[in-house]
Amino acid sequence: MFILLGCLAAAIATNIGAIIYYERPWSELFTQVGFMLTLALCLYAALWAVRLAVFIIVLIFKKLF
Amino acid sequence: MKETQEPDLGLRRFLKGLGLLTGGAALLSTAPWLSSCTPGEPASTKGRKARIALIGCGSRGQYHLVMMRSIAHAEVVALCDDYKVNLDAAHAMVPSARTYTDYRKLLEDKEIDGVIIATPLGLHARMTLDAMAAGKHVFCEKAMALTLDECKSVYEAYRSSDRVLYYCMQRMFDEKYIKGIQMIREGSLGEVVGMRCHWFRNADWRREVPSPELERRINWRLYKEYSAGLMTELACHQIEVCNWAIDKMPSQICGMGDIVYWKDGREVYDSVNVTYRYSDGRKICYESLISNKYNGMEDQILCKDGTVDLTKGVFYLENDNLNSGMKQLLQQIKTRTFASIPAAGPSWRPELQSRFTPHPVISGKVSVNAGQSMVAADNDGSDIILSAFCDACLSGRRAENVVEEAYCATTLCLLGNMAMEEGRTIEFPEQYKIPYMKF
Repeated sequence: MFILLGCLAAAIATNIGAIIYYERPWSELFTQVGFMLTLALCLYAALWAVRLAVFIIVLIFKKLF
Repeated sequence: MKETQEPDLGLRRFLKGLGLLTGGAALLSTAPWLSSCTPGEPASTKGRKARIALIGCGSRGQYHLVMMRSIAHAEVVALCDDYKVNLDAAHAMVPSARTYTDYRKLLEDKEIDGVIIATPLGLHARMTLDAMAAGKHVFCEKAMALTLDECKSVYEAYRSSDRVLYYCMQRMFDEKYIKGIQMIREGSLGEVVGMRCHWFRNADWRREVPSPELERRINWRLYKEYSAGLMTELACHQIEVCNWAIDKMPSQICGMGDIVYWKDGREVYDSVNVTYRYSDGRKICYESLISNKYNGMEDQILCKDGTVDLTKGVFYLENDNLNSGMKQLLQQIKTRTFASIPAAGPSWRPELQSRFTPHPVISGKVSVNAGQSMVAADNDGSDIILSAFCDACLSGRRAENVVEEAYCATTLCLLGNMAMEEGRTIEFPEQYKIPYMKF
């Protein structure tokens, strides 16, 4: 849950950064909600894949040693 | 001149749309020719009808007859053509008109105020000169003439005459062009840095010929005896627009022309690429091809901060980032990712055209000419310029700069042909310069 919230915070931060960098209106904080949620889910999925890989590697190490 | 009570709604609607009826006089610096048909003078012409004759009753002539139906302050009283099929077709459209097979006989008719000349290009100069000499006002199809000397003769005859002379350069009376040029001249899109015009079709430019001896007369556009080909038939309009946009004349012309596909006995090029260079280095890049229509017709004025496509009546801004910040960020990441791929060497990456958002030059419905018609497009200014001519036939007011613009455009087109035929860069000849030209 905390990881998902963290991903959402990262997506919001990215949007804020893009708004500032590309000089876009602040209304994009709301109009780009779809983009932010998609980005948050993508980040979450990527992290999940990394966590799964780590879990498998750790499991293999435990079995071997 | 006959009496009528009906106002010219088409012309008034056009002027109102431009804002000229409500004090938009600033437009007159962009399109000074409109001053001849602005309110004031027409009071003297109210209730009268100009008596108009048509010389040349082919497809374009018949198009003008259709336009004349909606012009309340004019009537067609005579028709002339030496090709019976066309004369009969036009007579069926205007049964009350007198018919002639010799235009010189028509010019002797005292009951005619003005003539519309819609004949092959090779006849324009002689007919215009004869008509003005006979005291008629003249509305002639573009281009002005087939040779540079003829252009000069017509221009000088016009200068020494008091007759009205119009050339059907309809873009000069097209609202989207007028507003677009005004925007360019005001500098809203930054400095003009170049111009790019093209006209692509995929058609042989031929018409059906009932018997072989009529080939050259009916398909006159294909033969140098009557026509100067793509340059005078198509480019003429577009070159005029470019000069109008920056109020200058190019001083150097070079180009290449060929018969690439339609090798059917024609004498004029079916493919032309001509570059016109202004003294400050700006250029018109002109291209026309009639064996591929992918690119259609466009008159693009390229400015530092945007591009106006006058044909479509839209402009594009160079830095019009309507994409959200997030989308732009993703695009940038994507571009940088692909930029690292050595596609054709370490320093090359595809510089593809960006997608720009079109903004309308004028509000409301815009009539767009895709460039396919051999006769005319709808609402392209042809009706308005004809109406303005009929108005001028009554008032006697000559439209400022119309003849001069036609002279400049025609000479440039003829010089374009000369550059292609001789394979060299041509400097605008001194003997054909007129005071109106700014190099």
